[in-house]
Amino acid sequence: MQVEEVHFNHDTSSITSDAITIRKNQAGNPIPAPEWKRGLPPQPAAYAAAPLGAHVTIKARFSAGQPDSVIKIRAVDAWVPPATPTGCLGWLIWFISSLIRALFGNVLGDTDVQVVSFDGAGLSGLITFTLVNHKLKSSGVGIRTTDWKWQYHHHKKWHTFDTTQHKIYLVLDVPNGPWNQNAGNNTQLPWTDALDKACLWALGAQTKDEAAEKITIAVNTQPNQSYTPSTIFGFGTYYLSSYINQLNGGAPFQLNCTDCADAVTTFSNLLGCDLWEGRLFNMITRKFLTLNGNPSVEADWVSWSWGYHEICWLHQIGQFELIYDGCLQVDMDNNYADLVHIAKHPVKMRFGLNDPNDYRYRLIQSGNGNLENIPRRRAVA
Amino acid sequence: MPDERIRKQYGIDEFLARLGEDAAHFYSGFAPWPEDLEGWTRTARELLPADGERLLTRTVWDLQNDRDSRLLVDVTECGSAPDAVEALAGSLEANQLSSLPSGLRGNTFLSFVHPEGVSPACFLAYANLLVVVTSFGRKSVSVESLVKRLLQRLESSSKTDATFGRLTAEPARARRGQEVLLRYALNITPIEDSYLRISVTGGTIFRRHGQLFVRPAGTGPMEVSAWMFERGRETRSVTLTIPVE
Repeated sequence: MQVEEVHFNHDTSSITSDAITIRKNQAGNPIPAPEWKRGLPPQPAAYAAAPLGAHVTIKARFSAGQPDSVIKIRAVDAWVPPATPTGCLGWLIWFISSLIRALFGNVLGDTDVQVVSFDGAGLSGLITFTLVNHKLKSSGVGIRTTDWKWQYHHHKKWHTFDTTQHKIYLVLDVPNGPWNQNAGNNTQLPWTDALDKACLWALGAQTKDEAAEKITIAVNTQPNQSYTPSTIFGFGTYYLSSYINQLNGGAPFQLNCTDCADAVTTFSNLLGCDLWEGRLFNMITRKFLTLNGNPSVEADWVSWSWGYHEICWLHQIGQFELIYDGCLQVDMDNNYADLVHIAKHPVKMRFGLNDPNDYRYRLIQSGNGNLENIPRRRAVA
Repeated sequence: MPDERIRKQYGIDEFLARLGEDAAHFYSGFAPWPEDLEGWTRTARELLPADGERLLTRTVWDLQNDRDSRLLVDVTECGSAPDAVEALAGSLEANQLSSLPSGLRGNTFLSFVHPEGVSPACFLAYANLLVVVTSFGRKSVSVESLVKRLLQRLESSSKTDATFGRLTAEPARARRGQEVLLRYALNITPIEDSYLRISVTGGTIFRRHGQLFVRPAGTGPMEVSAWMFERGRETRSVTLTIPVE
C-alpha cells in the first residue's frame, strides 16, 4: 500500500478548513492540489491561521491496497524525540533539538483515523482526514516541515506503510493587498518566493504588530543594500521579483524609500498585516541613520533635502496615525548638534506633529511634510 | 500622469511641444551590449511589465574583482516619443530629491542626472525609450560615459544593402493625419540582443495594443526605414514609401 496524493488546498474557495492558494512567483501557474503526488517533486502549502475553524482537513488517495478491502488509515508525526538527556552535552543536544523543532518542525500534528475502502484494483477514493493536535493557530509565522508516517491498522497494531514530507508556510491571517485569493492564473496570489523571505524575517511572530516590526527591521538591515534617492523597484508596479533576485544574489544593490515601503507593506501584508504606503512632501530632514547604517559610524548619520518621502501606514494615512519606515532609523537623542545618537527603528510610531515621540518631529527639521492622502499597495510583478 | 509641479519643474510640456510631427524613431528590443560596457559582465537580464503597454528591460552589470562596483541599466520601451517623455517625468516624480540638474544636452533628447555627492544616476528620454543608468553598488561609478555610448549607438545609422524582410502599410496609400498600420515580416531569425529601429520621415510612429502605426504629418511621400541591428552580424534594413494625399 502507498500514498498517491496529499491535498492541502483542496477547496480553493475556502480558507477556513484548508490551505490558501499560492504560486511560486509571477511566472508559472498557481500551485494546485495535490501538493504531494507520488513521483513528482513535492510542492509547498500555506495556511492563514486566523480564519481557520475548528476542523482543518486534508485529503489523500492511496494505491496498492488489498483489492476490495476496507482498512483504517492515519498519518502521525514521524519525528522521534531525542532520548532522555544525560549530562551537559545530552541536555544541550536535547535543548537544540527541541528549539529547532519548535521553530521549524511539524505544525500539522497528526490526522484522525479514517476507514478507507479499496476497489478491485486496489485504489482508494480521495479520503478526507481531519488534522488533530495541529498547531496552526498557535505557532506564529514560520516555514515548517512535516514528516508524516502513514499507518494502517491490522491485528490491533498500527503498521507504517509510507512516509511523506511537506513544506508548510504559516502566516497570521489572509494576505492583504496587493495579494489576493482570486481565482484563475492570478499573479497577485501569494508567492512562495516572497513567503520564503517574509516567513523567515518574521519567524515566530505571534501578532501582526510583531510581524510588521520584524519585517520593517529586516528590510532596513539587509546587509548588501544602500540608499539612493531614485526608485529602483518600480513606482507604478512593484518589481518584487527583481528585488528578491537582488536579495538572493548577495551582491550590493541600492534602493530608496519607495522601494523600502513597498517591501515592508508587501511582505507584512503577505503575513496578514494591514499596511498601506503613503507619501509626505518637501522637507529637510534631521540627521537619521541611513539604510543599513551602522549607528556607531558618524558618516552613516545623514540629512537630506527631499521632495518626498514614502512610508508605511497602519490601516490608514493620517496626521495621528501609526507608521512603519524600513528606509531609515530616527535619532531619539534630543541634542541634534552633538555626535550622540540613539537609533530607533520607526515601528508603530505615531506620525504626529511636534511631540518628541512623534515620527514627524524626529524626521523633519524644516519644511511642511504635508501628507498625500493616496494610500497605495502596488501590484507585484 | 506626473503632477503639475514635476511637469513644470523639469520642462516636460515644453519638450513635448518641441517633439516634431514630421520625423520620429521607434526602437524595439534595445538593451546595452557587452561592447558598451567593456570589462563589465552582465549578471542579470530581466523583462518587467511597466505602466500601460511599456516594457522594461533591466540589465545589471558587474565589474570582475570589484563586487562593490555595479551598474543597473533600465531601458523602458514606450509606445511613442511623447510616451517616453511621460515615462521620464514619472521617473523624476519617483525620485526623492527635490531637484535634479540637467544631464547631457541635445535637441533630440531630454536628460537629468543626480547631482554631485549623490550616487550617480542618469535619466534620459530618447525616441520611444526611457534609459536610466544607475550606479548600483556600494562604490560610486560614473554613468555619464555609458549613457553617451548608448546614445551614440541609438543615433548611429549604417548604410546596408542587406535586407531582413518586408515592410507593408495598411492602407498602402494614406491621407494626411490618417493612422496607417505598419507591419514587418522578418526573413531572418533575430539573435539575442538584436533590436529594431524604425525611422519615419514625414510623420510620426507609435505602438498601440501591440501594433505599430505611422501617422503622416503632411502630403507627399512618407519614408519609413527599418534597421535590424544584431551583435556580430551585418546590419540589415528595409524601406517603404507611403504615398500621402
